[in-house]
Amino acid sequence: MKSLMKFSLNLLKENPVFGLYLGICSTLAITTNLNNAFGMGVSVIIILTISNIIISAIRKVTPDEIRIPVYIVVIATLVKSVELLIRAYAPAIDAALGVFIPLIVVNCIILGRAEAFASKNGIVASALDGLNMGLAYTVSLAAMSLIRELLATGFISLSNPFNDQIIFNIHIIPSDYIIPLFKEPIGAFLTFAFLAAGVGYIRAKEEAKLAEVK
Amino acid sequence: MKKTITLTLFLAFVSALAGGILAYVNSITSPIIEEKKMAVLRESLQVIFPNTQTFTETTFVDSTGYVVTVYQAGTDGYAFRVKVQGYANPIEFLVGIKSDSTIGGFSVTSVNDTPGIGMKVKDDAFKTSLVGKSVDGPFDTISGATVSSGAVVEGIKASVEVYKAIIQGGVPDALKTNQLKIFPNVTSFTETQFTDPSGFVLKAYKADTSGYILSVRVAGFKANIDFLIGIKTDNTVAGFVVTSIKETPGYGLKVSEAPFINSVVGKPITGPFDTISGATSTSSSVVKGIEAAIAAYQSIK
Amino acid sequence: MSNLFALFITAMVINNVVLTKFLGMCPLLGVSRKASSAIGMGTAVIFVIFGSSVFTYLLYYQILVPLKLEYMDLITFILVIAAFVQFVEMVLKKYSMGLYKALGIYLPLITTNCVVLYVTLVNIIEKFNFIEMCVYSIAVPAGFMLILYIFSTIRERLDTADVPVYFKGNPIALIVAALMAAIFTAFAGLV
Repeated sequence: MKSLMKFSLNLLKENPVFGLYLGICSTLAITTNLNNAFGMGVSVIIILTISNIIISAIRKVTPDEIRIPVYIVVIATLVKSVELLIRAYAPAIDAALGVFIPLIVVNCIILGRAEAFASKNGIVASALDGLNMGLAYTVSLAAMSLIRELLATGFISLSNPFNDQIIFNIHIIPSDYIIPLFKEPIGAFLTFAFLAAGVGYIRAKEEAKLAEVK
Repeated sequence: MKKTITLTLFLAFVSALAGGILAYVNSITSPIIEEKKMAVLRESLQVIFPNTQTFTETTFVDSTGYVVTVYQAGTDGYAFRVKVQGYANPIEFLVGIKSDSTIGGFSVTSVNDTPGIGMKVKDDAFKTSLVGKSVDGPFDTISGATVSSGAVVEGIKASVEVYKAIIQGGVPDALKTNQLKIFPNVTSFTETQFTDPSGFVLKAYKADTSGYILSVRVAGFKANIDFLIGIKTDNTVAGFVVTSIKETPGYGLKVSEAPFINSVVGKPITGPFDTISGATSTSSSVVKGIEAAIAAYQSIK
Repeated sequence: MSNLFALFITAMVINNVVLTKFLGMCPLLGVSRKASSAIGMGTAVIFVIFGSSVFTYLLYYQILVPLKLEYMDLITFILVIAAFVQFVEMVLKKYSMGLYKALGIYLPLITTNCVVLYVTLVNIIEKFNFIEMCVYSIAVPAGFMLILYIFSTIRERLDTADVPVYFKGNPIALIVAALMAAIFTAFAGLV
């Protein structure tokens, strides 16, 4: 139970999106519905974890001066492979996320973790760090999408990306009360701002609690 | 200097490795991606030309820049993928021009405009005002023409210009294409007189000194079936081409497929014309049409 | 689009890359605190994007396509961009130490600026010809610089304003962005 608390605290404390403001481009752009959030989130988890593993594995042989270009090549290869696989096996995601799949290459989270963690730690630790960060990212995306989709359409829906079958489609808010604005850029910025402020608030309270305990 | 070389080599090595991995992934995925693209393309074009099976991309010249791609829909006509600028966002649509120079179909593939105004181009009313019209127009837009509907009309006009250019450019017309399928080396086909009491035979063409082609129409299960049958001077069937068919796959549609065609081509005109096992009303009609064609052929000679 | 002017205005203002496509947010939140650094950053980005676009465009159509290596586009484009940014860094170090210092860490970060890779990819996806590519790859970063500049002037004032404590810094900047996005939708229909 305590480790679960610690895990969820980590989700907030080192939240890559709302705490460190990394990878915001894709967060704002694609979080219009839950499908997109999971599609992007799972892709990032896979890419981040594998890239962390590879970079950690080659960290001792990579010359220091060219480590950034080497990391970039590794990440780009992974991203392109994922892009091709998505286009072949889950074209629904490809159509929804579009150019943001190749843009995962410049998602600061991946290069950031490679530089800050994977280049300095063992393979298993790096893999876990990748999973951790990827999960935090996915949860953040899901949170934004949930809010935006709910407020903008009144529905929460999820469908299987491999064969387009609907998993669930729940109508929560009646159509008279929806705010379509949340599908637009303005909705994205507003939701993000409030979530960021919210995370900041929770973090401050946690820190205050910890300071008291000390 | 040595350091730079080692560094560059290392990077080159990593890149080459990366390239190799990607080449592998690409080889697995690219056939699947191609197939999916073809299926999506066929699906979207069959909205315009429901009966055509194969669409081939054609080269074209378009000064307006609106026409993105042109597909030849077999002998049915041409489909145009057009992209114009609506009020706020681009509008992409498909428009089909049939071989009789009328608008065959219209389908909006991408639009993101003002609801009730620009989005009207997606409505059925707009589509109905276009389909069936001759290519020379005029293209009335729905009452209350908007920036978007005006743009779409401009796009359609551009497609018409491209269509006219293609037709005049001497693209072989449907009939000749099919005649050449039967007698590939013949340069001219001239219409001839014939006698046909059955009424199935529509036209007869003399294929130089190689033989004759007869154009036949019979009633199939669902609709009329048009076909061309060629007869060589040695009194054997030179070729059999179905030019229009709307039958059930697996049943009536069989007459346009290999087993049936192979059972006809090369046979002496004395027959008999066995149909494929599992004769249907469609195939018996076609056989009657073939027999009528042979009779007409003999009336010419 | 055959009309180059329409292409330019659309790319720069109507479909502004920051407010409608959400790209370039990292430098927006990080650099946009002073107006002068905004202009410097903006100019650097225009130069990098234009240069990389020309290079990657030629690379794609002259080398990758004939060799059927289109899938190498992502790796090669990002390496070209990284090299170009290094080049700009060296030039700035030599000729404009002031700007180099002002941009600081954000100069190498242009490599991971979504806008750069986005423009190079879109040039290919939209099948632009050479002239259209040049127009587009100047218009988009010009739009980025416009927003960066406007933002910096607003933030200079925001930093001294009375903002609720949890909204200080980035959240309030995002709300400003929300309002700007709403305002910019008025440009739809301009061309």
